[in-house]
Amino acid sequence: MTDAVLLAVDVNGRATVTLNRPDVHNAFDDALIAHLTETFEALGQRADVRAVVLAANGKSFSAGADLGWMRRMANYSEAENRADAGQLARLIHVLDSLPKPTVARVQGAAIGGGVGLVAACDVAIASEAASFALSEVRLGLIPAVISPYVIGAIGPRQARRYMLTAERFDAAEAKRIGLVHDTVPAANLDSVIDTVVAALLLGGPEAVRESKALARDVGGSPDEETRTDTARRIARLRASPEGKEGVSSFLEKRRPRWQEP
Amino acid sequence: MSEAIVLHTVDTRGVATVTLNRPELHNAYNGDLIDGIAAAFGALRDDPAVRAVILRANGKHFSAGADLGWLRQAADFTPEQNLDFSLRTTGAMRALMEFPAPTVALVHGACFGGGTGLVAACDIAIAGTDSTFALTEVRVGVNPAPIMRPMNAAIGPRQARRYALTGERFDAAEARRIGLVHETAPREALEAALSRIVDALLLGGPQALRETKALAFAVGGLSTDDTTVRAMATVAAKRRASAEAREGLGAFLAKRPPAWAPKGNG
Repeated sequence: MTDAVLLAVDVNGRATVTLNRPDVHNAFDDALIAHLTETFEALGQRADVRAVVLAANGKSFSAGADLGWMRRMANYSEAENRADAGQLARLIHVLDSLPKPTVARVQGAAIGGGVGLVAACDVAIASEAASFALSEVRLGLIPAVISPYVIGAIGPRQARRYMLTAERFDAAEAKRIGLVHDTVPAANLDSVIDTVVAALLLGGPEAVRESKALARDVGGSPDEETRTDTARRIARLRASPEGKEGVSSFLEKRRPRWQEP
Repeated sequence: MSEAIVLHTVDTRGVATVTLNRPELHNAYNGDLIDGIAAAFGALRDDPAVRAVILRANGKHFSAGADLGWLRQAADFTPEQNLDFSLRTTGAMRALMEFPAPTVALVHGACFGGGTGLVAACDIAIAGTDSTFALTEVRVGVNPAPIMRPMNAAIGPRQARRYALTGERFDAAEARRIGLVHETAPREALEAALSRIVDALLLGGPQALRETKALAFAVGGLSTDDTTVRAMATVAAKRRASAEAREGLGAFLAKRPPAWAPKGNG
């Protein structure tokens, strides 16, 4: 079996974490969430790592929640859903608070939780072919645990639009609203990522770490209470009639009741 | 009986439309308009069938700011009447800002003063490319206290500090750049732009939309409380009753420059 997450660390201290489930568009399930969380925690501890690039193999960056996982979730109790949402909340928190600078390499579509991963990285560079959507409401769900990071990146004004409309938007719009810092032709993506990492490696490792902590403290990164609250909100929705209808209609490839003419 | 100053309807899809309907006064902001807005959103709030609300205006302009003749009269209110009026304004603004379902503003023509606050309070805003915006309050010696919270939330304190202080007019492109509006479209394409947003909203689960809006408010720190609202109303009322505001409003109505206007080119 191939690994769902690949890790490479080079001699300069650049770690590259690659989502490696291209057949399912790097959708995440409980196993991938656990694997990624462990990987980021371990990198945070490693003295030889100075910058972390988050990349993905295949056509998409990440399609968000995995179908099989959603199928299992459909039968979860609210308590099981809360524990489950707590795992995703923890992953995004570990990425956001990783004591090394992080760079997202967004080569394709980032949907739902995939947008959360991008928003939680310090720097995000997207291919012009990338696209984005906070698609949760179309399934009767809410972008709960990722919302603090999404709102932190794009601000409440743009969040109110894209969290409510679930519209798909392109890389240029992602740059305009601040979700990504730059967009580049696909062929230049690696060289631009190399340039960003090279810049990060010019900074004093301690100074870079402290600058990140400063930006988080002054900029108001979400506290534990917020993280718990967002997990509770999504758990409640998943167990609600609308949430169940949304997920089952999606799995059954039919329209949810509220979309019927 | 004359037509209502603020109209509201709900269609079979659950899309409500609230229309400012005082075109002869360019939907200028006064006590009647404020009460009409509060009443419309109050009525819609209790209707569980409402899945989205559009806020738009009849006539040439979305809202040409405050009705200054009426504002000048307000300067002679008793302090109690004055505060009561400010509380009605902040209350209407809050009813719109915290409306539980998604709200979409459709702006055309001029959108000044309190009108910009209405736009900022909506979740999503679409403007005609020919629309113009300004926070004009300081030019007549009053302040935009009742709209500052939604304004800060929409465009951030950096831009709010500029436009609330300078009273400069800005165009639709600038409004989009700073985040006051999300999309701009030529007048003939406005309805299509609005439909795209409304159609997208109708694909979302109705409960999920309400919960997502509540989430954005909780996480984004957008909620307010009675103490803050009252403080804003008090600031606005005190300012309106000040000598400077009387001078500013009086000068505007007499079509003369206010006492603080520069005397020459320096």
